[in-house]
Amino acid sequence: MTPLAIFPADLSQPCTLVHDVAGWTLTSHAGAHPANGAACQLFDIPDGTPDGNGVTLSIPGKKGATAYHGVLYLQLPTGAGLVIDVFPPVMGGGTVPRLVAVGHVLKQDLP
Amino acid sequence: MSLERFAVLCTSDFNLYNRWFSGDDITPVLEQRHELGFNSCRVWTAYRIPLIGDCDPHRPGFYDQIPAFMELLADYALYAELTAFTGPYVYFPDQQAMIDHWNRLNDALERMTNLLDLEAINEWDNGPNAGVPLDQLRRPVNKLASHGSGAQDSPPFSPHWDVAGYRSPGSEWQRKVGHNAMEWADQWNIPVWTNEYPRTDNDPNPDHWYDGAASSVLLCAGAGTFHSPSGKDSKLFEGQELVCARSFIQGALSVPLEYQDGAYSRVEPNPPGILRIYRRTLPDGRFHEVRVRE
Repeated sequence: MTPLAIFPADLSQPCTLVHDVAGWTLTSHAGAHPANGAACQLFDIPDGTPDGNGVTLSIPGKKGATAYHGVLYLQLPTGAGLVIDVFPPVMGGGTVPRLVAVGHVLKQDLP
Repeated sequence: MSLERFAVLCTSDFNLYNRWFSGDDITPVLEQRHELGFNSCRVWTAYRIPLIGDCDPHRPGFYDQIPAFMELLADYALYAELTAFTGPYVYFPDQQAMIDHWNRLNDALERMTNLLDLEAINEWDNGPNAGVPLDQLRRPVNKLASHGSGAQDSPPFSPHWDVAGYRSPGSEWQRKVGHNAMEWADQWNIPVWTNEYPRTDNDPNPDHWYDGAASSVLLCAGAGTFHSPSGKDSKLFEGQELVCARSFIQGALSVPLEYQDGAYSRVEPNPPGILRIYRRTLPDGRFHEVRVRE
């Protein structure tokens, strides 16, 4: 088992990690970074997971989870590391659907 | 592309932008509004009014920072109704200064999808608002806009634009916030909501807040705008405000939005303790009723 430490904005909030090819989905738990002891969320990466493959990390938020895709490396001095290669759109005004008037009611114009 | 029903569940947060622009941390307020279930805030943009605040729009960067403020609200899934004019006027020496304020607000909101609407004026027929050049304001395009609300039970400003805000009188307000707003919506065929309820210190009965919100969601474009002393200054709700806010949201969420399209009727007679029973009936015969308590 290899630890992967991440630091979401809410350190108490469990996150999920889905491996592209190994078939597992992991839920993180509160823990300490293996090298410096900083509070973090930890994934316990199972033995036998192939090195250098893709994973999707989901971090819960006020408007639902934000998903990042990256490459999971397992043989780093501190355990595992994640290099993000697909970034979601920046959160902000653009992510709330525009409202339209339809007769006497309002509706959200969903993409 | 698809359209999903949306009911206005708004709260007065008049001083919110001013607080944020002045450096205050408003995230606890946004967090509270979002957690309670509000989906929008009513925010003012130029005023010096006791118990609300002092908001000078001539401070450097005032208009440039509006998009960042809107994006912060969006992070809490909040829309904003931004109101341009709220007399008395200490920051506009003449009508051209007012028109400039309007144009700059309009421009600043150009790309913001979480705009509920840009409202020209709060209570156009209230004395301190005399002289605002409402007939010279450029009607916004590609964003919802209101030409302005009226004072208690008076018409919203005409000609109307995309949406309108209504203000109920104090008596039997818990039924008029929905019913009387509906009458303007029916007349103009636009979304209308009561964008300023009586304040919670005027009526602290949570049943009235529940019934007002429920009947408003059934009859018009949403529950409307919850109003409280803390909302004026954009502080955390406490005590009975919080009780009434929760009741307001519970009432609003008690009505399935599909019934907004049903035919309106009033059920009679009213049982003891009930002011009105409002009903909307769908073409397939299903209906939803709201009983508004005395």
